[in-house]
Amino acid sequence: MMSTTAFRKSVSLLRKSVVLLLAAGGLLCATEIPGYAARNPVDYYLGIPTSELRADGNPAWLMHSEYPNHLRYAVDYVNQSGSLKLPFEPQRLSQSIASVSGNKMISQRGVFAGNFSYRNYLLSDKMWVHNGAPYTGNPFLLADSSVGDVSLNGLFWELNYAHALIPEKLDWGVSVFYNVDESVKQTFPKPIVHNRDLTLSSGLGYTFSSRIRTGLTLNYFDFQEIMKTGKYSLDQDKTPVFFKIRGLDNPIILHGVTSEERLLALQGVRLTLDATLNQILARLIRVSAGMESARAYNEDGGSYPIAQGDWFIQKYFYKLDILLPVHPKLGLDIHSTGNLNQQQGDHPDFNAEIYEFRTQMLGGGFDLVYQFAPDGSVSPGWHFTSQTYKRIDKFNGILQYVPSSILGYHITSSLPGLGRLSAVLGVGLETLTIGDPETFLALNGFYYDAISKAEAEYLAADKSELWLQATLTWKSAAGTHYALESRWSRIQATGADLSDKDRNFLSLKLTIDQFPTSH
Amino acid sequence: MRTLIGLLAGISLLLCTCSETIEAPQSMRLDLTVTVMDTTGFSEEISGSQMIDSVAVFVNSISFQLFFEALSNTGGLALFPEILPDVYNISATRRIVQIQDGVRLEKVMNGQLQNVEVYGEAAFVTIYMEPTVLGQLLISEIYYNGSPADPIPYYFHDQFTEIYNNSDSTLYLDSLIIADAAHGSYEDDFTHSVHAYMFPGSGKDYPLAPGEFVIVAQDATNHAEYNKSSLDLSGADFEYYVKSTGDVDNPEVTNMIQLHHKYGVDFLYSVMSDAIVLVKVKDPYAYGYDTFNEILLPKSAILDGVDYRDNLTEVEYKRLDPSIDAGMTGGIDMYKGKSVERRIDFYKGSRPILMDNNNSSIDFQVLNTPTPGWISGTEE
Repeated sequence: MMSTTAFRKSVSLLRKSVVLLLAAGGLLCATEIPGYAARNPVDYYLGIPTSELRADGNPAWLMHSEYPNHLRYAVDYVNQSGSLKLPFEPQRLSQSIASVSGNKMISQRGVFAGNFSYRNYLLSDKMWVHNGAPYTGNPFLLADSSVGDVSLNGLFWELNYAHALIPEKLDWGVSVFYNVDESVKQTFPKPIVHNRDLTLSSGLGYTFSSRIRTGLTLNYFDFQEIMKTGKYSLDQDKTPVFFKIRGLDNPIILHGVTSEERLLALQGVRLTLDATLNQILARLIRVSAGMESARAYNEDGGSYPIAQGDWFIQKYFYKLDILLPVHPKLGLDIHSTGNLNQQQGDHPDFNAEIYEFRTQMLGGGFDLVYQFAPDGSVSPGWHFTSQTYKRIDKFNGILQYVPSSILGYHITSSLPGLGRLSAVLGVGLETLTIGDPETFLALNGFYYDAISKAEAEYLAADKSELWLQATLTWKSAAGTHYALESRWSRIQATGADLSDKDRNFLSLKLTIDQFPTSH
Repeated sequence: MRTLIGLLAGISLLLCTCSETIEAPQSMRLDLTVTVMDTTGFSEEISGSQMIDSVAVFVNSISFQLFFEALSNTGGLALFPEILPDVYNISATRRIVQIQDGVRLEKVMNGQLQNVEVYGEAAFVTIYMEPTVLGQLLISEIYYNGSPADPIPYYFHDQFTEIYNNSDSTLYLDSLIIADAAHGSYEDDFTHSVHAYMFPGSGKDYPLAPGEFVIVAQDATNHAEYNKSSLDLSGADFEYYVKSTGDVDNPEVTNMIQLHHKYGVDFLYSVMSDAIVLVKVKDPYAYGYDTFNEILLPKSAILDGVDYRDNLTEVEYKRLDPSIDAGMTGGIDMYKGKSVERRIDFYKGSRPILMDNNNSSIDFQVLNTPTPGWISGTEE
């Protein structure tokens, strides 16, 4: 099973160089446009970080895991705060995830992996909207007039199994992810949101030779979000005011309604092809590309279920990494990503498309990796991304179009001579420059200004982001690895309108990995 | 390596071409034309045409809660330019007043369409009007809303109905019925009533002179003694009394006769949405009950009816058809202490004549303070 040693060495080398760059998700994080299509469905639609999951990968490659037997405990903490945000983002977010995960080789032809996680977050001063992830492009949102804190508790787990159908040739894997959570807004009218989310994945991996490996992954996902405001949570002398947001229109405002319920049900499939070439054209080339198609319906519940509109999503994406040897101590990593996210919203009553949403992004860059010591390296890098954001409310004839580009520089270094301790430090700066945004306005008024206009102003603001990150790892003799990853970033608007606003991000992650001592 | 460099050059080229031409999108707004017709022959007799002019046409967007109003022209066309596509409820009303031999004759024509899908390039709708008979005994005010907590929450025992003689002659309340109308009443020839209560009397025991009121209270007592924001209904003329539930009974106030009481400690009007009808029928039990144990009363025997709802856009849930009430009143959050009252149309001498178009959207207004026994704008 593990005979493709050369393959694994090359992949490992590529991984090490990429880890230097992406240790804490440094690229395209804060300055990315909403609707960044390459994110996997769990991350994109649910906002659940997937770093401890295999949700984004081909479960068949579990057979080629670098650590087929290991156990991991992880605690992940993320905090963000500041006024530079989209209107429905909270003023402050504080999220913790505690997880246990592991791999177990159960036979020469089978590997089992699993993850069990508890998630908790507190959102402070979240405005109006009940939907847990309001910036996925969904034009149909439910809201009320309150601004308040939202707390969430949830559990999610993932089970994976990979099997060698033809040893060293053909592998097959399957993966199940399941999430349940409940979030409650603390302020009147105290809406409660329940999520029930499932993904099923299956993948095939074929190893042609020690130089070529390809894989195919099919994901099916079924996500349900139920937003409820019950009359039993109402206070005497208070009557909620509900908003039904549809595209860029002024919301429909409901007075005198004592309860409201919204179901968002989303189903979709995602197909991903991946290939890894070893010593062909370059030291290593890894490419993946795919597409995703999903459909959601929004329906108001209660005594009289009323359709609120259908939402369709089509995404295309690719990712390319090329590792070139320049010198025995110098490597060049060239990378490129691209994605297209096309969405539309259909009217609940008429056979008419009333909303269009489209983002596209194409980016690339390179990193030099200079290995100045056996356990020390430095890696400066540069990347550039061109992206556009467009949405059209065909109902009212409103358009927002924002082209932008991101230019980023960074340098990371792995410090030598620390013995069992290893340290990776990094710093980077990204600047987001807005091109010529177009806005065709048809509406005015308080609600349009508070939602759609505010979103356009945020998107059309030049921004810069400075980030710092450090990862410390200590490897014990007993086969236990302790790692602390930290990342801080500050994103600041540099244009005139929002120049006094910024947002700070902090993430800390502690992991304890236990490996068999023989490893 | 050259192939690789070519690939990278291609990607770089793509990076530079990631922009597009943007054009201003078109709105989906459209023009709606409503044709107003009377095929009963009534209008043709008066004006020589089935197309009716000067009809007030009301267009109500269900989703956006937008209201538009236009008058029909001589061709019977009412135009609504540049409205948003949506599902609309459309109603039309015209009052025809004729003076013949010095006598004022009035008729009201009403028409209604529900859940009309309006979208596309342009929309054309025809609404058919029918003349309806105006009432003489009218429900002039309903207080169903409940009072704010002061200190008792959810206080609704001070609900009342006010009935007014809008005619020129004395009328008698004996054996008239006040009932509610449940869902299912709209489509049927009968109202389906959860509660029905009858005025006592054998024919001429309870006269009501022109311009006079009677108050029918849920409980005829001074509710302000219990909840300060509530009403003093100790001077009410009648009250509902449900003996079996231990209901409050004021012995000095005449009790209504219970005909049917499906549930509840009293004849409770919903604080959100309901319809109240005034019915005159010889034998209230002659029409039986529906499968939900709701008493059936013939619509043809209804003297007046008022449909109210907290959310006025939900016209699709109306309980009374246009022959009784072509509109809806209310639009009030519950427990605000507000009532709905019929507007004054004109004065006959010093006597107010209340508006009666069989359309509570037009005829009624919301009062912040209920006025049991008098009309706001007149002397108490």
